[in-house]
Amino acid sequence: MVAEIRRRGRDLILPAVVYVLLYLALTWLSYAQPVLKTEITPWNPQTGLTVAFLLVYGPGLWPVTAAAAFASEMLIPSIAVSVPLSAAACVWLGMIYGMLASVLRRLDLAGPLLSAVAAGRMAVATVAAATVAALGGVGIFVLAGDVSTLDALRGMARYALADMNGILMLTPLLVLVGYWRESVRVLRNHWREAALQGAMVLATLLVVFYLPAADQLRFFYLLFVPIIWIALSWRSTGALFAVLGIQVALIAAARAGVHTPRFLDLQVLLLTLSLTALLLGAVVAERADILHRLRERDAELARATRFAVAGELTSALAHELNQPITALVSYLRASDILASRHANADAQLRATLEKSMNEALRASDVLRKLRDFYRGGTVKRERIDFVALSTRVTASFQENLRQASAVLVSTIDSSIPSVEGDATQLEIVLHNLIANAIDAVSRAPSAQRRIELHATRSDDELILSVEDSGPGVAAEVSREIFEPFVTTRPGGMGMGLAISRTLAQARGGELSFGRSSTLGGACFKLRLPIEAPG
Amino acid sequence: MSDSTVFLVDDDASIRDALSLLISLKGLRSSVFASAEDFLAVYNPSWRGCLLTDLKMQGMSGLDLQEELQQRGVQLPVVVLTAHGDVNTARAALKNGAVDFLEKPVNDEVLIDVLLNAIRIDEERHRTQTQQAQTTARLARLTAREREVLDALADGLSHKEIAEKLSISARTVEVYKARMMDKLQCGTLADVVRLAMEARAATPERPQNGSKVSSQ
Repeated sequence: MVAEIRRRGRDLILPAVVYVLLYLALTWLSYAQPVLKTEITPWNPQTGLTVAFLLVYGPGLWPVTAAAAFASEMLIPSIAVSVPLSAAACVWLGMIYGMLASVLRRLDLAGPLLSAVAAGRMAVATVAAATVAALGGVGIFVLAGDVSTLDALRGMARYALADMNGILMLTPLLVLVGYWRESVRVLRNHWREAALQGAMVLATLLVVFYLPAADQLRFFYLLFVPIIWIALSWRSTGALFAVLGIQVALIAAARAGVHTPRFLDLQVLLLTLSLTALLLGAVVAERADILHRLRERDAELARATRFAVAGELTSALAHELNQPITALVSYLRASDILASRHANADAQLRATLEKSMNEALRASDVLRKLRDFYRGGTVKRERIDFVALSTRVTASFQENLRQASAVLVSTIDSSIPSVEGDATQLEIVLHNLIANAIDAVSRAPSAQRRIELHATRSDDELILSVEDSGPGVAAEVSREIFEPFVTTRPGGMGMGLAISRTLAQARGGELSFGRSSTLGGACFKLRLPIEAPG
Repeated sequence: MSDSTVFLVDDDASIRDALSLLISLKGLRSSVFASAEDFLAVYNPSWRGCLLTDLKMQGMSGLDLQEELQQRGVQLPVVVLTAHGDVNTARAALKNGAVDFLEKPVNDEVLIDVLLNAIRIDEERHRTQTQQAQTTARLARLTAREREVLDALADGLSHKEIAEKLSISARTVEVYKARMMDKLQCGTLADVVRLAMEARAATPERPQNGSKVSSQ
């Protein structure tokens, strides 16, 4: 235990040292360069670094960040203040950002921001923390009487905005530094697009800086175009990287003596750009994730359906072929008995009959194995939230229902507990029943196209019924409606109900049909034990 | 076993032909039907043996046939033929009272074993039924008084107790007993008691006649 703590402590020394050095370097770059006036840098990159450090290595390390801040105050004094005051301000900042890091960690925001909610939370937490940090940081100087109140307010606003900029722009990038290899790989594959986007940012910046300082601000909004484009194709990471580039370009421009707009305006602009990048990127990521999951779900459903159809086909084939094999085996056995009755029975004939019989049995065995392959081993056991599953399935039919001008009403008892079984298989069954119902009502006059889905619980069973206002099940197919290849749909394969019943039975349930008393069409009823048998 | 027959119901002509050939070569008599409906149309309660039926058939399935026979009170033992892997249906058939099930393609030795067993069950059942019918017929010949004496003896009462209970003399009890044993063709009291027990087992809900108050 102690050794473990000691080992962890040793592992933290190097990052802490690197962090402090980087912190000092960034402060020096921001404040100490003689050509750069203090006002030129509208952000505090070192705060972004601090929060990233605390997020990655733990909020408990906040004293390290306070020490780094204090060291930079001592080595690179920006304002002449007393040592105790400076130390108090540094401890305050360290604590606040330690708290921010711990909140962000608890909200699971220490990695890539994958949803708009995550990005929004990140922004709100950052704004709040930066405001509190600035209040305290500047307040300490006011209390000591070192700064006038007006200056303090202005300073506070600048300080808060600079911190927000630093955190929102840098922290999300820094926590993902570990993934730089992937980023480089992706960039290499799409370098043309990236180059075009970079060129666009550069061109926009050139246009903006070419203008007199007074007009610059009016055209700064042009920068949103490339930022949005980049956010759409590269998510937050790429867009924040571009904002960082703009920031660097601003510093470079100031260094080159180009007149730039007022400090506060720049800060707000950059903050807006960062927020846009962050939120838009997160929305894009969220959407991509949802699309990906939907596609995976579809693929899984299609795969499971294919498997079930193959199983049904095999089963039907095995049954049909097994009949002649059964006759064959019996005939051969009979032949053997007949041959044995002759006193001078030919041993070779009997051996041949025996071999023939074994071959016939082998053929039957092959069929059995093929059938067993599709039968067993594929049933998963999981807890299925039936209410959510049926909502998902019915939602996927909205377009079909609209096209068929049919109405689907579902009444699902919300007290149905989670059902044990294979979610994909249950989805296939429900999917087939609704698809059949839509097909059935399409044959009825459009005014009466109605489908009702009921799900209730009865003791330890889930009872699901799908009723429709269609013509009902035709008498000539009613006997064999669950058999494969039986269909009333032109071009239909006749597999849906066959596989549905096989799946239901494999799970210990039953699928049956009758006439709907309320709608007049067919009523398919699925009964499923809530706990899987066996 | 002489009049026992295997009644084979299968909608596949080749299987009917092949299995009936095999069954007959093994020394059993067989009779084939192309459908459950065909079988039911000609079924006669005097048929002895067993029913060997396929489960999956056009029209009535093997399970349907089983249920129909049960409803008609037919006690012919049923052996079902299943396609391989059809465990659920086989289980349902057994639950419905099937004696056994065989997977296609069938091993002829197993087939004969199962069929012989089914036939044995049928014979035993038939023997019991015949015996019960005989017992009932013999008991029917008793007068009400003789029957009362029989019931009392079966309950383990002594002659004296019976005399008291029926308000007759012990001597008269002896007379009734002798007559009753004669009618029932029983040589010993043990035989009489066994017969009475059999009669009760065969018709448990039958009200006890005479003035005797049932212990129930």
